[in-house]
Amino acid sequence: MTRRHNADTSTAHSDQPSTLSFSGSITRSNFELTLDFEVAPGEVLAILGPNGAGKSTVLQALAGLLPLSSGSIKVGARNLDDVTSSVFVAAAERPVGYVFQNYRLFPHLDVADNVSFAARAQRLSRAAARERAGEWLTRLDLTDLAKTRPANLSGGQQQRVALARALAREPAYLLLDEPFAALDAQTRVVVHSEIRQHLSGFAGPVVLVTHDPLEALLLADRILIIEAGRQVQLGTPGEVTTRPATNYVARLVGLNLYAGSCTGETVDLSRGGVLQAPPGAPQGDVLVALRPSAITVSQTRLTTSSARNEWAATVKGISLLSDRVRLELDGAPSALADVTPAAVAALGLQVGSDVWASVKATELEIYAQPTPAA
Amino acid sequence: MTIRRRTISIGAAMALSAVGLAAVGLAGCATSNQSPSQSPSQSPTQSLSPTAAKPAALSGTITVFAASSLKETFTKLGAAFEAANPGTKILFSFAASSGLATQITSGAPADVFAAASTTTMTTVVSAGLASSPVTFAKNTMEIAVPPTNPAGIAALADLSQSGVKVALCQVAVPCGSTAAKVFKAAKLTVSAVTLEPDVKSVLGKVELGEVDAGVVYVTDVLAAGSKVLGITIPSSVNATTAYPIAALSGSTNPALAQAFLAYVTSADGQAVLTAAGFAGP
Amino acid sequence: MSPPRGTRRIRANRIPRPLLVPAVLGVALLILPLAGLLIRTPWSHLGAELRSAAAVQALWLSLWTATCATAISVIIGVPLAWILARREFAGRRLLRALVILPLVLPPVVGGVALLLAFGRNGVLGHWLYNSFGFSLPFTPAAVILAQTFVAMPFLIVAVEGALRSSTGELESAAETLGAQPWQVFLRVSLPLIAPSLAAGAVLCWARALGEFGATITFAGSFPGRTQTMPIAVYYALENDPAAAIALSLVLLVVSLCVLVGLRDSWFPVGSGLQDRGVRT
Repeated sequence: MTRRHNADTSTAHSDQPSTLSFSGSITRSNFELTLDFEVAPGEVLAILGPNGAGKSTVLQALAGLLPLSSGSIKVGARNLDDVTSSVFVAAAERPVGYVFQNYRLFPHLDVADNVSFAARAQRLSRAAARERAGEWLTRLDLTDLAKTRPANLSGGQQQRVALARALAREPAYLLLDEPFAALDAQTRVVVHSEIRQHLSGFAGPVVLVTHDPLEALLLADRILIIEAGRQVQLGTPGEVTTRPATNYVARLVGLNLYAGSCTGETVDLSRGGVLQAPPGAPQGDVLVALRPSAITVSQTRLTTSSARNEWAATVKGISLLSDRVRLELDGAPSALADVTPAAVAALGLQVGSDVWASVKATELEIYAQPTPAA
Repeated sequence: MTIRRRTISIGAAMALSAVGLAAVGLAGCATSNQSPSQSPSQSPTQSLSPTAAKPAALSGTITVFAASSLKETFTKLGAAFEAANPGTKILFSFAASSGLATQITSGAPADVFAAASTTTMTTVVSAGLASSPVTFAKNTMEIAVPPTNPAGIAALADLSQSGVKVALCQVAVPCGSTAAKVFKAAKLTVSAVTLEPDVKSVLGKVELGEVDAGVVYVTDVLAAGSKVLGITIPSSVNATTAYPIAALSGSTNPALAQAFLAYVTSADGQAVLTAAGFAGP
Repeated sequence: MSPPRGTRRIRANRIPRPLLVPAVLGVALLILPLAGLLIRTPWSHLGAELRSAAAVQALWLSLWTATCATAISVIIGVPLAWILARREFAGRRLLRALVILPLVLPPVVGGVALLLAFGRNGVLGHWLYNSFGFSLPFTPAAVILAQTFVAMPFLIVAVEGALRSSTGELESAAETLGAQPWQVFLRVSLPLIAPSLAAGAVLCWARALGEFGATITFAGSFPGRTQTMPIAVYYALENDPAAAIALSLVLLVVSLCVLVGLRDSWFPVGSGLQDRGVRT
């Protein structure tokens, strides 16, 4: 906290949208988080991670509410926080738009005054500021609510006001912290598409923090996954959902994931079991992703073939999902398997039943183990 | 002392207000004034000086309400009395006589009242709470100034100069009314910066050097020693106040009360008072 | 036949006896003295007592000095509360303890301390007197200073509590909208703590109005100049009890008005302060 030099405050906003880059660590009393990422203009990056992983502190650091303990934050060529050169641009001087979790609308101001707050902070008269805010009210369909206090708004309306307030500052980059957490499930569906539309109209980089993988998949161009203080995966939704880098990610996207060593033909799983690899599998340390629905469960052993993996397992748990039944299988390897309710009835499955699990080798997604980010 | 006394009297008032349990509880706090071994056979008029203590020994505790100006002498007298009469305890509450009189008429538990003016004693007597007060000392006024005498006070007339900060007792208090008599006799108009609740407060302000002068009793100047400087008021204009003492009819230990009263008026008591600068009655 | 609804509700609302008895005693202890004051009030000549020059003088002095003390407390107390609530620095806890010490300090001790600091021979007062020939004690300014010393902590505690409990997140939101610290304070913090500030100011004023010990010690007592209502009551009790009771009644009524004014809107039962000032 000794770095308090305000450098480069004169060039507040550049007209050209620029890339936002973060490379450094945040240290708090209970954790340290090290990340390295860039967000291009117009790109939406979702930071996904368990609660308490420090996702929000990343946004606070980007906004200037929290200094980095090492590394730097840049927007374009402009240094916002750089530990080595002792630069720290305070929040008020950063070209940031921040939509907080729970929105943090000013309860003593009406919608129009909330949205015109940034303009007022730049010493515009109240009338001029409200006029400028009017454009944003129109864009976010808030004109009718201009004179309403936040306490009288619905969750969805509050979210739009928060977004309008942040956008009205005409920021170079936009930060969204769990923008849907405060909404009920029904509103969320509507708001997801609304938000996506508004975000697509924003030219700068967007960083969105969420603990909900679905939100990340729906809204983000790329997903950054953090776990235990470090970045474990950064990729497109497609990459993340087919080739999860860790068990945590696999669970998030609903896949079985095994680490192992591949000879090219078989994979020796590190926690027990050997699987037949499909042709062309990479050799060496690999991860194997397996969809629960790709697993077939039977009472007797099926005809063995080299293209099919088959192993004995015990049913440890049975739970009903919306249209299928999820079996928790204990074996080598253990796995989650999704079957139809009819199959459960036909096989007379219950906890403790001994079964055979099988899966085609071509259903296995085998990829080299990613080296963890520095 | 004053503060302690006041808590007790508030305690008594609370006991009256909160009937029942509270009264029982607080009465316990107040029993220290009562003597369980009090001998009813003893004559209240019996005169007992510490030198002439009778075998029918005195015992118990009494509370003496005394004018602020008596603080040093009465504390000394009380200690001497206790030493001569083992088993007795004399508690004092020193404050402005007028305030003490109000407390007594409001039912404060006291055994002896020593006032700094006959007027304040009269209040108590006419309320039927005391009878036949005896004057045991007299006192006159003196100007007290800080040792450095910042305003260069040399005579009484200097107090009426503008810019001189003077502290007086408020007029309801004997030292205030006596000072007023002095100014009247000297045909002076003195505008004080503060009218203090009692003579010791006036002295305190002088000692701290916050005022240039205060009008107090000669005994106070003497008692303060080097902390203040005294400037004599000519006897032609000086006023005298008489100190009456009386046992209170509400006393729970009249024998001890009378004995202490007798000691104050005895030769031994008078010697202590004279040494402190009081004049005889 | 079931009992009528009203009875059943009373039963459900019954107070356990071990709580009831002390509670009733508490009520008696707190309310009977006030009743005593009302019973002994000389109603027939109350008007005359209150219109007497001395009473008017004391009341007027008390009102304007307490108001000045409150204004000073707001002007210097709010920034102090803000610093205590918002900034971390070495010795903050100690500073906070010292600043609110007068809450628990016997006022007379406060008065003595003020004399030793601002008196003619005091640490600062000595310099004031030597440089400007100005001496504080025995002036209305001394009354105001004594009242401020004793009453300002009430305001500081109320404002600091409000700042701590509610507005931090909104302040950082304002920062991200480009507001400078001073603007954040003016546009966000201050409006949000307004109810607590008002409550603190009223408490502060009431405490200043009732100040006795520090005032009589530091400012002395002179009618019209430094003799405030409480001192007037104290003096009157010795020579004019009827006047003392009449003056006491005025203070009682003023205090009651303050409490009624503070009720609900500023002291909601429960949290102590309304969350972020949102009125629902």
